[in-house]
Amino acid sequence: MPTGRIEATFPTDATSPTPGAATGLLDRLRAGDDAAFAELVAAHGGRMLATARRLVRNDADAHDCVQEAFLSAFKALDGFDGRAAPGTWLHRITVNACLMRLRSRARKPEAPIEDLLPRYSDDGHQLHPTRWAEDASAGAERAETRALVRRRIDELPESYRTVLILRDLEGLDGEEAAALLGVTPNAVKIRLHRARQALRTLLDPSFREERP
Amino acid sequence: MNCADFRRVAPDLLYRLVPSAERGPALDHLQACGACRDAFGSLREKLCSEIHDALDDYLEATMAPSERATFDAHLAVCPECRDYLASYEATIRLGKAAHAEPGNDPTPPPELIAAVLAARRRKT
Repeated sequence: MPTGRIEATFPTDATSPTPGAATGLLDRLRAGDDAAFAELVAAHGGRMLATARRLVRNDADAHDCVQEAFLSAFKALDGFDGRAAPGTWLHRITVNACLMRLRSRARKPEAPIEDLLPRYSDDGHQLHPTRWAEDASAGAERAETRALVRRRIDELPESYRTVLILRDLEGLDGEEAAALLGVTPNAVKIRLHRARQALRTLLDPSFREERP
Repeated sequence: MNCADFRRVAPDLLYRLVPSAERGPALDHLQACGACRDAFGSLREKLCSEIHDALDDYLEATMAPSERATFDAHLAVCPECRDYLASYEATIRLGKAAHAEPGNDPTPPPELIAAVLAARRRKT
């Protein structure tokens, strides 16, 4: 289960590139070089802020989370072995800080996801099946489509929205997401599938093909 | 055709893979036998919900080959599941693109950089 504190973990994924340029920066950070800290924040703060905004959906909280993440990372610098890219390491710490923030917010009972999942008739057919236009995702890059999809993602029950963002947008794998959320990888897999199904239901009125 | 023979061919009947010589007798039996009609209905219900439950494994190609063959056979005869699969894939693409705006990783605002560095100085 979540420990209730920010942990700066050290990824040891041997497949991560060893950032040669980062090694010098790491030495300067460990030496307490102020300019090196400024460089690190300028180089990675933007991506971290984008991640935080996606997760906590509130600009002030997102700024706080990024600040907490950096402080947590600075504290853990001595233990960072530099084998993983600093960006990957900082991203995970940011996600952790955001999850902490989400947990600390006043909790409202979550709407049941079942209402957004497909239903079946007694003979095994999906009730009210719909067909989407073949080019339904062709406009995925358009600003108005992206805004619509973001609004629908925000309508998902929180625990499903979080998993969808971690897996489909932040690029975490099932094991990483499970570790950060304090649940099993199988629970993440099930939640992701339900979140995608629920998002499909929410998007259906906008993308379904009208039958003649 | 008796009940045992019908249940042997029922999965193939579902996928319309039964040879025509057996198909007629199988359908005659289905019409005449209430118990086999129930069993056949359950088979179809289970398979449709299983298709939907296993979409991620199918799309990520983590399915065993035999399961994949069953899945493909079902899709071949089930337009509703084909449509659902297509819309599910479109949903994933739309979701991934929703936040992928150019400039999504901008230079952080100067006040954020200043706040982080000031907080660091306070802590050290």
